[in-house]
Amino acid sequence: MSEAASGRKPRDDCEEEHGENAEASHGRAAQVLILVLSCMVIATVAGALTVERLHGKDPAHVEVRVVAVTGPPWTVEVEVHNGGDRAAQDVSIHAALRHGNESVLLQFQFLPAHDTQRHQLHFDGDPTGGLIFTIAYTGR
Amino acid sequence: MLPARAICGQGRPDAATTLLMLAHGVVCLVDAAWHRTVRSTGSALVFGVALLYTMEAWWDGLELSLAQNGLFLGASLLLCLFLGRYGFNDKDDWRGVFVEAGEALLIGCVLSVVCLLTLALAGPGYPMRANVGTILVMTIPFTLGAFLADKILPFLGSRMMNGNGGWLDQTLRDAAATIAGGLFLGLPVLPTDEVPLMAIGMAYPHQMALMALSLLSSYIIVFASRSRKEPNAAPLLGRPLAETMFCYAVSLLLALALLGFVGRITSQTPMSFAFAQAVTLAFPLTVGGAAGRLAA
Repeated sequence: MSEAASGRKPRDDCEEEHGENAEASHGRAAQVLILVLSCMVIATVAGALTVERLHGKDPAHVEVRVVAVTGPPWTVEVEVHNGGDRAAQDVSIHAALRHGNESVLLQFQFLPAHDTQRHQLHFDGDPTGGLIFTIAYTGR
Repeated sequence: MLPARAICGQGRPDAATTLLMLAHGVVCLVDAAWHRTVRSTGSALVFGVALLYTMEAWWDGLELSLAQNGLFLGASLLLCLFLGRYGFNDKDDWRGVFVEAGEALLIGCVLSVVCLLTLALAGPGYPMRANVGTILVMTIPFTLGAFLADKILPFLGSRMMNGNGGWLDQTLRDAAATIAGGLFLGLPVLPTDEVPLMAIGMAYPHQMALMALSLLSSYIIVFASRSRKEPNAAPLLGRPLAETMFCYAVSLLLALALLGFVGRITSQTPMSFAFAQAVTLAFPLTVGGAAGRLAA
């Protein structure tokens, strides 16, 4: 088909082709930009975990502190803190009255590194005479 | 790969041509088997990933006897045979059904081992009986998923990148499909204790391996499992790489947002633990997101 018959001029074709090329070029640039941004997000997460791996080496270290005692009925509020750089797993805290046979078992599945949690322990007897805590956990 | 016509000469083929034809046939068979395996793996991941994030399933692996676990696995294999003969696949010959079920069982078993090792739910630190039990339990959904690949993946759609719309449209469409699909698989997992528990159980190599497994799963489900006959089966270092990375980044950001929304990540949460949880949750989000992109 001749140019006259098609009703299109060579210049129009050129402009259209140029437009398509520009659009394709923008698309490629955008694709590279998206790839770079995506890599940055993934690298940030991987990097943070790597830094933690390189620097945070202290194992989990769980401590219990009595915050408040109220009653009767007796309630002891305790603060459980993990001072290590590793999370504690399968944490089991056995709290026994110093004077008496009563004891309470507090269990939870995990305590992240440097995290603090508050829990309440309920006793029938008077805990103001003192408490003995036995703490067990696993932590990398 | 050369088509058979191209390597066949006129008249009686000589020894070299016969060898070439044989080699071509072997390559075709291996290629088809590999493609079927990859496709089944993608389907198995979509079907089985939710059970990986179920604590009770881990306990079943530990608490039930090996005989019970084996019985469940046998029952699921029988279900595959039944479905293959009379259900979805509706094959005429038992031999084909047996071969397919066997392949699905093998894929399910390998996938179960890979996922459990990556998520630190099995490994050298556990007793052998517990390892075997957990692997058996997790093999069941993966086997069913692999067996139903021909039904699951077409149901999700046969994605074609036809280039309609600009790059922004396509990018936003990918992001929306990733989020929608990710939420479909990830939301049931989100409020449970499994995510932080798994995040704690995973050491650094597990976390890196899980990131790699998430990226690989996304690529397998969306790109590698597509039929060669479908248009735009693009090469790895083209759009698929950018899209896979982009959708994993979206899944990671979505995981962080969701964990923050339900209070799993607060200002008090150590950064490393927040990211460890995000990587853990991002796996089902990525698998769901990949399935969502297939369906979109």
